[in-house]
Amino acid sequence: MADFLPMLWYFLLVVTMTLFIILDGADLGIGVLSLGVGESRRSAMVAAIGPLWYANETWLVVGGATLFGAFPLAYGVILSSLYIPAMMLLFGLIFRAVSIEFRSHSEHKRLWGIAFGIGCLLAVAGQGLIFGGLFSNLKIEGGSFAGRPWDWLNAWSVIIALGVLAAYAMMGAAHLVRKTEGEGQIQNRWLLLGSASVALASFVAVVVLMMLGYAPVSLVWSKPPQVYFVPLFLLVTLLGFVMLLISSRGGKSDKIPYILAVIVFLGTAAATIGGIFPYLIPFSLSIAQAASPQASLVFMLFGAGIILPIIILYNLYVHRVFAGKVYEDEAESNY
Amino acid sequence: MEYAAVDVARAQFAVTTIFHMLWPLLSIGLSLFMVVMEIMWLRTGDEMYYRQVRFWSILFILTFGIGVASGVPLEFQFGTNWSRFSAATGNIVGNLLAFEASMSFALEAAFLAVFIFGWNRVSRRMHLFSNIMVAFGASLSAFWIMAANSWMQTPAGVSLEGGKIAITNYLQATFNPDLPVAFTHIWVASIETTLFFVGGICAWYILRNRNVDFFLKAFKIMVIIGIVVAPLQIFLGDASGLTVIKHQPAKAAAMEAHWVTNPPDTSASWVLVAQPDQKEQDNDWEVKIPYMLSILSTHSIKGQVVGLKDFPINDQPPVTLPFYAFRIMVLLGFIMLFLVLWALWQWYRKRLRVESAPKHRIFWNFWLYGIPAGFLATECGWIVREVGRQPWLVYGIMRTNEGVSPVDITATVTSLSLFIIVYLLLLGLFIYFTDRILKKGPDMISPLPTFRKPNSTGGD
Repeated sequence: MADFLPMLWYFLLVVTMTLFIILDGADLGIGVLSLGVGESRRSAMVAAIGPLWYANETWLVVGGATLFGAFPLAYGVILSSLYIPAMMLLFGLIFRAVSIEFRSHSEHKRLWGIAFGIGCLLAVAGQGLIFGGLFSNLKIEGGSFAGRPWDWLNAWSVIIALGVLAAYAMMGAAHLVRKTEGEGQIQNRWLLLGSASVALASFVAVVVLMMLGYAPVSLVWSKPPQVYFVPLFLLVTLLGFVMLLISSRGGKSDKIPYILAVIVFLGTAAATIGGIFPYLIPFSLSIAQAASPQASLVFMLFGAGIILPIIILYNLYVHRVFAGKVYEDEAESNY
Repeated sequence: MEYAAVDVARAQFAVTTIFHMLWPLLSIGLSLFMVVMEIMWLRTGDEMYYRQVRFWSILFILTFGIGVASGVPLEFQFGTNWSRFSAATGNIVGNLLAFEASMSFALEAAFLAVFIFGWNRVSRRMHLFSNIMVAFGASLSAFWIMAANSWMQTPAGVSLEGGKIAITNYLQATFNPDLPVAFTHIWVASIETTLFFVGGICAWYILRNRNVDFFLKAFKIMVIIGIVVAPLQIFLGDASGLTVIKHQPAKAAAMEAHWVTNPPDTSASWVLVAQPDQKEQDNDWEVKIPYMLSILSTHSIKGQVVGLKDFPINDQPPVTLPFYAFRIMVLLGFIMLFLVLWALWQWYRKRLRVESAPKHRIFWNFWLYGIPAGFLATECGWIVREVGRQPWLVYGIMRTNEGVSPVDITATVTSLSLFIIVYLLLLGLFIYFTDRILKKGPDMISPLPTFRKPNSTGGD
C-alpha cells in the first residue's frame, strides 16, 4: 500500500507526458518540418497547428508541475543536472509561442515563420538531449546533482536526440497528412516517408548499441520480468515503423499513418519505462525514493488527480470542435 | 562562490518574474472584460459589443502568448535554479503549482482555442461558455500561484523534523494567513491595471477622433468598474499592510524605514522620504510626520510599531528598495483613484459624449499616459513583497541561500543574460505590434459569425 500512491502518481505522470509528446510533439515536429518548405506551405502548416497548440503545450506544464509536486527530488535533479538542454527547451518554447503570434500581425511572415521553425527545432533538440542525458549516467549524491554542467553531452545522447528529432518530425508529418488534402497531402506524405526513415534508423542504432553494451545506461531486458515484455514492445515499435513506411506512400487512408505513428511512440515509451522500472532516473533514483510523502500525494490526488480525467474530457471536446480539415478562412484570418 | 551563485539565481528569478507578471495582469483583466462584453452582446443583440470582444481579443491573445512563453520558464526555474528548495518544499509548493497547471491553466488554454478560433464552429452560447472558462481559468490560476507564494510568506501547517519541512495540515498550508488578502489584492490589481490599459487605449483613439463612439462605450464601462475597484484596492492595500505587520514585522519595518520601536505610550512617526542606511541602522536623513505610523499601522494614536533594530542584522531584509517601491505603489494607487474620479466628473458634466469628448485633450492625455500606472504599481508591490521577505525563501524556515541549485555559475549567468535580451526584445515587439493593431483599429465590417458544423469540410 505504501508503494501504491507513488506508483499511481508515476502512472499519471507518464500519461501526462505521453499526451504532451504525442500531441505537442506533432505541433513541434510540424515546426521543424516548416524550416524546409516555402512560405505558402508554411502558412498551411501553421494553420494546421493553429487552434490547439496552447492546449497541447498545457500537458508539459501539467507534467512539469506533477513532477514537482509528486517527485520533487527528481524534478530538482533532472532540471539542474540538465540545465542547458532544459534552457534550450524553454527558450525554444518562447520563440515558438511568440513567433506564431507576431507572424499573424507582421508583414514579414517569412522572418517570423523561420523564427517559429527555429523555436520548434530548439525545443525538440532540448527534449531529445534531456531524454538522452537521462541515459548518460548522471552523478547524483545525497539527492543532488554532483556532476558537471556538460555531462549530458556525448555521442550517445546526440544519437538519441537525433532520433527524437526525426520522430517528432514524423509525428508532425503524420498529423499534416490527416489535416490536408490533394497536392498538399501528397507532399506531406513524402515528408512522412523521409522523417520516418531517419527515425527508424536512429531507433535501430540505439537498440543495437544497447545490445552490444556500448551505451552508458541501458534498458533492462535480459532479466525477468523485463525479459517478457521489453523485447515485445521493441518489436511492436519496429512493426509500427515498417507499416508506417508502407502506408506513408501507398495507403489510401489519411488517418492510418497518424495512428501508426502514435503506436511507435507508445511502443518506445513502454519499452523505455519498462526497461528502467522502478527507476525514475536510470539507475540512480527510484520512483519511491523521489516521491513526496504519502500525505502530500493524497492531498495532490484530491486536487489534481481527480481533475485529470476532466481535463482529458474537455480536451477531447475541443479537439472534436477542430476535427477534420482546416477551414480555408481559418488559415490566417481568425486572429 | 556560493554567495554569488545565489545572487545570480535571484536576479534571474527577479527578471523573469517581473517580466512575466505584466502579461497575466493584463490577460486576467481582459478576459473578465471580454466576458462582460460578450454577455452584453447576447443580451442586447447590439453588434457593437461583438466587435468589442473581437477587438480586445486581438490584444488578449498577444498578451496570453507572451504570458505563456514567459511563464513556462518560471515554472521550470524552481527545478533548474532552486533544486534544493524544490526538493524540500515540493510536497506543498509543487502540489499547489500542480493544481494551478491542471485546474486552471489547462482549462484556460483548451477553451482559448474555442474562444479565438471557434466563432464559426460552435454556437454563440457555447462560445460565451468558452469565454467564461478562459476568464475563470485565468483568475483561478492567480489564486493557486498566490497560494504557493503566500505559503512562502506565512508558512502554515508545517512542522520541522530533523531539518526537513513536513506538512502537517494541508488545508492550513494552502489557506495560510496571507492568502485571502494577498490573492484579493493581486486579483483586483489585475482588474485595475487592465482598466487603465483599456482606458488609455480608448483615450488614444478619442484623441485621434477615431471610432469615438466605440471607444467611449468601452471607456464608460471602465469608469463604472473603476468606481468600485480603485477605492477597494486602497482598502485592500491597507488590509495587506496589517497582515504584513502581524506576520512579517521585519518586512513591515523595512517598508517604512522604521528602525527603533517606539516606547509604550508614545507615538511612532511616519517617514515620508529618507535615505536609509543599513550599516548605521538608521536613516541618514528623513522627513517625518509625527503620529502617522502608529495611526497607519495600528489604527490608533499610540500604537506600538516594531522597529527593524529589534531583529538581528542577518535576519533583516534590505530597506531602501522596499521603502521606495512601497511609496511609489501607494502614490500610484491614489493617482489612479484620482483619474477615475476625474472621469466620473467629466461624465457628470456631460463631457463624455461623442460630439464633444475629443475636445478635452488634457483629460484624455492623462488617461493615455496612465497606461503604465497599474503595471508599475503592481510590480512595485511585488518587489516589496519579495525583497521584504529576504533573507528568507520560506519565511522563518528556509534561507534564500539554502535553496539554490548546485548549478555552475557560468550556465546561470548565460541564461540570465539571454533572458534579459529576449525579454527586452519581446517587450519591444509587443509595443510595436500593439501599435500596429491600434493603427489598424477595430474591424467594423466583417460579417457576424455563423455556426457551421464540424467536419463539413468548410469553405462555403
